[in-house]
Amino acid sequence: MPGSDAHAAAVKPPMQALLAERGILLAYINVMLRDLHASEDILQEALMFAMDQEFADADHARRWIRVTARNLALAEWRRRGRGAAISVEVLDQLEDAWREEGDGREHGERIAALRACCEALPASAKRLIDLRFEGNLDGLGISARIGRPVNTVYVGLSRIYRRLAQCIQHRLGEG
Amino acid sequence: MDSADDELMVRYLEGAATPGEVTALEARLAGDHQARREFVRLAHLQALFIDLPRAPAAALQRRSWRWPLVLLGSAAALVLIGMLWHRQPAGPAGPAITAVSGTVHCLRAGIEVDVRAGDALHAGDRLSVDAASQLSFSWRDRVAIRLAEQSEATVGGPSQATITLAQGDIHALTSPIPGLAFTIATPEGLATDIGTEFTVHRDALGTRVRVDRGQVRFSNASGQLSIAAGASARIAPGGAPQADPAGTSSSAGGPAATVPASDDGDGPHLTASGVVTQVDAKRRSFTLIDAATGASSEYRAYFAGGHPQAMLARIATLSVGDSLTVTYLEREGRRALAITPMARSAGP
Repeated sequence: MPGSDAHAAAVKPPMQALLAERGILLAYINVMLRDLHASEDILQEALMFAMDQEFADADHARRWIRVTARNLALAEWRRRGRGAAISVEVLDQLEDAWREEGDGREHGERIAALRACCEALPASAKRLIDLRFEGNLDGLGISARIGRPVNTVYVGLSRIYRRLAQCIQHRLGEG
Repeated sequence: MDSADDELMVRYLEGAATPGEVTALEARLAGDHQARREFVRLAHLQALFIDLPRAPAAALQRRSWRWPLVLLGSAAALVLIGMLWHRQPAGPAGPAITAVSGTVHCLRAGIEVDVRAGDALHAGDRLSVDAASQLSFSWRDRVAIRLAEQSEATVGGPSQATITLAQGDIHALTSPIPGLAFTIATPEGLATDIGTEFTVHRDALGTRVRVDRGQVRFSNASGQLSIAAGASARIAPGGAPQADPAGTSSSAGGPAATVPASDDGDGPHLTASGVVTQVDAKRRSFTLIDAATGASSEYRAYFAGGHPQAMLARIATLSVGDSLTVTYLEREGRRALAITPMARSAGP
């Protein structure tokens, strides 16, 4: 298989830096697409392209993948017929916030913290999270399942998200 | 930040915001760096859920993505790949040689071995038949195969009943085996028998199937044909199955694109066993034809953090014709697919 040796080569440190920021990259894409599984596809595509790049250092790799992921995500958004999404100008304004969010812990540490924080949630909140992410239901689906108005579902989710975000910050000693 | 801001941000991230709400969110974000930080933090939190370990059933549901994925990067994946490498046993009901005429070469795990009537063939054996020679073998006395002169083929796994034809002619006489579909694979497509007698020919112009009795399903990613007795069809390189003008084939839908998954609790779940029909080095992907179902699925390297070198290196060593079992595993919340080369364990 021509070229296979190059592909089998060790993953370089800049790539490891990208993999360590997997959650942020996924979120970065999802702000444009608002579909986590589609965002995952885009991220995989971008990482695949990244494997063939030569990066000077981790910062170079981070800058490169953000531009690539953004271009791929916007192309996918257009392919899907656009839809209400925040403008490119606001996306540009968010760049500083993304960089600041990236100056923290590795993805695995955040996952471990999230897991612990989820275990501490009350039963009703756990159920909402399970329906959303294990059941893969949207707000309407959850509303039908629990027999509550869809607005109540989003209010509930926003409170849980806020609580979890604070819990993770506390566990990781941030903020 | 107040709760109304939180709700607005979450409605947006959940894809539920109206155009008016998106405008309101833009206005909120445009003028306030702290609001932007909070928005990014919530977005990050939401994205973390995709990697949160979950129950096996939920993890399997997620596999309705575009491709069945080779999950990388967990220590469990790397360990299990190593553990499973030599564990695939040779089945007792594998193919056996019934006759050898002239000169036939058999390459087993890179070493040429003698072939005689009565010998067992192993998954991954590469067969090459010289001019004025032929090789006959059978599967459970239900499938009789004749590999014609100047042909090259690779044997599938003992329980897979698959042959991959690189070039030349294979004649197959079969009767149905419960739970097992006999398949001849070529780079252009699959010919799957439904109790029949048929011949597959492959050369530089593609693959041609002629059916003498019964019925054959002829398929690739571009489509599927059902070839009736007396008819023939062909697939040119890169093309879709096409009935020959004089044929009587009927069109059908495309082949299944997903691998069926069992979900019977913890432990390994057999996902697919079959022959590699395509390797894409650039995309680090391979296509495997599940011999049990005839479904062709693409497996891609999946970057999930950690140290994906081992799986990437493993994919890089694959070749068309390799026989593999891809096993889906769920252990302690970690997800992985292990690739097991069947040929390595099937020693004489």
